[in-house]
Amino acid sequence: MELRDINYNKGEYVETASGNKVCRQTILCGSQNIILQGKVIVQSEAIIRGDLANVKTGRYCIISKEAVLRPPYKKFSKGVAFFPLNMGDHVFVGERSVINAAVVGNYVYIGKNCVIGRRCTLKDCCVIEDNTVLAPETVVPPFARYGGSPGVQVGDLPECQADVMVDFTRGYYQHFQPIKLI
Amino acid sequence: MSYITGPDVVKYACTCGLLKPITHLYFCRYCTQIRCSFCVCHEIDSNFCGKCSENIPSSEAKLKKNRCGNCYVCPSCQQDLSTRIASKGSANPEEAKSTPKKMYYLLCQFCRWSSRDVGIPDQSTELLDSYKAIILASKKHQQDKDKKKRVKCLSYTDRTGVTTAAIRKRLGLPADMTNPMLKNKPKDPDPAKAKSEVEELPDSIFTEPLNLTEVMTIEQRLLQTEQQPTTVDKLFPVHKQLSIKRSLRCRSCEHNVSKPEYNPSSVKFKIQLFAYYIIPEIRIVTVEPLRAGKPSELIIKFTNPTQHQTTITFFELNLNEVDSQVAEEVAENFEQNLYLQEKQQLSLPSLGSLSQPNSLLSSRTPSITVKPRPIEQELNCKVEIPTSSFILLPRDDAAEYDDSGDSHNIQDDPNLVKWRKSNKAFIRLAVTPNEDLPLNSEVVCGFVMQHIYTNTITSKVENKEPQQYNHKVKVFLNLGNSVGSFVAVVSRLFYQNNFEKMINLGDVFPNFSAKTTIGDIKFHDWLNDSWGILFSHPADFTPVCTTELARLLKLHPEFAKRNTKVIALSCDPVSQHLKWSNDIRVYAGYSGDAFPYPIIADEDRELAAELHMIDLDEKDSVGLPLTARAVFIIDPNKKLRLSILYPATTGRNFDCVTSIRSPHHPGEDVMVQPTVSDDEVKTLFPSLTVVAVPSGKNYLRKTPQP
Repeated sequence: MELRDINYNKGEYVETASGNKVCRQTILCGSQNIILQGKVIVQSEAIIRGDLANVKTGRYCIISKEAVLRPPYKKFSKGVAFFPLNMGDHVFVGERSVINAAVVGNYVYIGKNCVIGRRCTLKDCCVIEDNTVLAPETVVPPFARYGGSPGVQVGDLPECQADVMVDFTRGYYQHFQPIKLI
Repeated sequence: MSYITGPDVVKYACTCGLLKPITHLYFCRYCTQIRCSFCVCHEIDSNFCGKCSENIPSSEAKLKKNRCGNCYVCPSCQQDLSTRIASKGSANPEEAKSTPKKMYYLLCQFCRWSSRDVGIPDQSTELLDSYKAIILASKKHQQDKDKKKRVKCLSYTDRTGVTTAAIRKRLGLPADMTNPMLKNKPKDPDPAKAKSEVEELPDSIFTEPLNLTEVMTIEQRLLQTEQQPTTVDKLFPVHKQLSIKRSLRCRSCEHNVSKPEYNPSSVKFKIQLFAYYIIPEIRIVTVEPLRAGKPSELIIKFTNPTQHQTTITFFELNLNEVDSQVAEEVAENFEQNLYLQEKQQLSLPSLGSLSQPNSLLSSRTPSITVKPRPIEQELNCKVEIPTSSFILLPRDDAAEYDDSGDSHNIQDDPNLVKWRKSNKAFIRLAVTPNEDLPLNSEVVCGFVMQHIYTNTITSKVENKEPQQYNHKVKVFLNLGNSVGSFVAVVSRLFYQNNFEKMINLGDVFPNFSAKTTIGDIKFHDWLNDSWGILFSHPADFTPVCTTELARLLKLHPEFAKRNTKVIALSCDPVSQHLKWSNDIRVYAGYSGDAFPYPIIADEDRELAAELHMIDLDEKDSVGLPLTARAVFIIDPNKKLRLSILYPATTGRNFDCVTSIRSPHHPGEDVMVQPTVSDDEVKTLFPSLTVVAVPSGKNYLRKTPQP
């Protein structure tokens, strides 16, 4: 199915020069540590914890409503250290998902209500289905579809997944338009 | 989006007859045919561990039973185990220069199982290092040994996949020839014999209580295939299973259609002949509500993924024709096979001892070609095939950064092409679901799409121009469920039957069964031997209906007093009714905890049509007619005694309905029936008063309540 237009109130969003569309009703902690590479959509009530460590996203990422991006931590004998969270290009994060991963590759689709545990590594071209709970330090290989709690591989993805994701995130960005007053 | 999560609504037919979304198809440019994963050869390119992303040579993978040597999975929940460090003081704390030693153990971060649970002592790296050294040394030793041992005569069967048995089979010889060298065949063991005496079970089985928390699940047990222990104290970590990268090969021309790069974490391909990159992609944009026998507008989007302009033409899809073709082909193949078999048998005696097998050895394992099957998909919707074709412009990746807008000079048929932008075109088609389509059934339509495939491989030197082919693809669209066949049902009831089946006063009310807020009911059983009031309202969550039902809520005790049961009806589902009934209770200020009367959910409007309580002019958001405001009063003999039908615009006064069940106010005078003659009246009702009316007819006769 072709994606329908998703309309937003122009007053609620800030559009930067590089094309990022960020909702005003978001919690961006430590904004100097957050890098959005361009054409990224951050929707209402999303939380990005830049105060813990650096958060970097690629181009054409979509952070849906109430999603949480939180850099992972690791316990050492002398306390806790936070690690940066790196996200690739063309990543979709569904509503109310919590991302604690260390690395999210390119062309990754994360569904709704997911929990990505601490220091997970999501390789390029993988899909995390809705309501999945990934245990900490899980590595998701390329072209794998993970689902369930605990998250296990439930299927494979077609070889052209990268282009499907590019098409999807680009289409999403193009259809994410302000309400036109007539 | 639908490729990633949703159901696949647009499917393409593979040459083999299976239907798949375009992302799962391949296009062999040598055969110019569509292939799917079932009609290509799968070959393992490399083995790798999904956790450590390390390539493992196939010989090593075979040795390790396709498991990673370094990574483990949790024996309890099958998640990856992570290595933890537990620092531990030196064995001799008195020693001055004791540095804390690092000890390692395995921990599952999901279920908190750890290698300590089963008594595996923490490991230090020293031991690991020494083991690694031993492994290396033994490997080197083995290699040296192999080098010395290597004989000149190499077996090619490993590489080509052609075994002696396969060659013999090809030549028509029996496959299981016993080697003359193998004369000393080992003796077969004696077959086991069944015994009638069975040892008795030990007493402990019956006396000791079973602790289920200590018993493994079947999954856990099967993970350790060799031991298959039963209790949780034997949960030992298991090596992680390897993943593979595979290349796909067309079975008929033996060219690769997909070959991934060697690096395990790479998502690039050396050869990528995916249909998604070659065949125009079709997506459903909008479709009007589908009604049986009525045409609806369908808008689909075409995207050209190639760098070459193409022209799309539509053709009718006739599945029967395809089937017969397939049947013919199958028959042909069969004949060919027969012919080949005969030929082989004939040529056998003339076989030289060495002449033919050479060619066989050099060739690869013969691919088993998949014969096309008939397509198993029924079409229940007609597509009006447009007579004109349209052009799809080539894909231009730079167009994204070009703000100048489109500048194409294409004369399009405005009835066909609704809108176009760069390599995309929105096409309007008319679809008509079949007349006899039942309500709420899946509507599937299909057509044949012809596009121009530009082949860029230069097969011959003199032929520099890319070749163009007309390639036809069968496309199936799942348009969603039909909604409107109901309209046909109602109009049939109304116009064909000429109201003959309408229930008249005094008729027995139909004993229908229905879904209600109190569960499924059978109307007569529910009514039992009381009076019944069945009334309908147009829709839940609407103002007038809420006031009506709220009034009825207040009046309900009055009806109960008069041995009358009340039931409501509308076309909304039960879940909506339940939600709405809370609203009504609040609106009416009703204090009881349960909603006193049930509401029927007549979602498919069958009941409403049967009882003729439909107003064809009143429609809901999808264009389906709604129930009007009807009231039926049914007596204990299940006969219809009264019916009222108001349009949706006019609310009912339920106080009136109460008065129907008791037409007079208690204590007031009652009327005498006009059928009682004047003479009889005087004897029956001595205290009769006649109301004088201008006509002079004495029909208004009152008497005190008996």
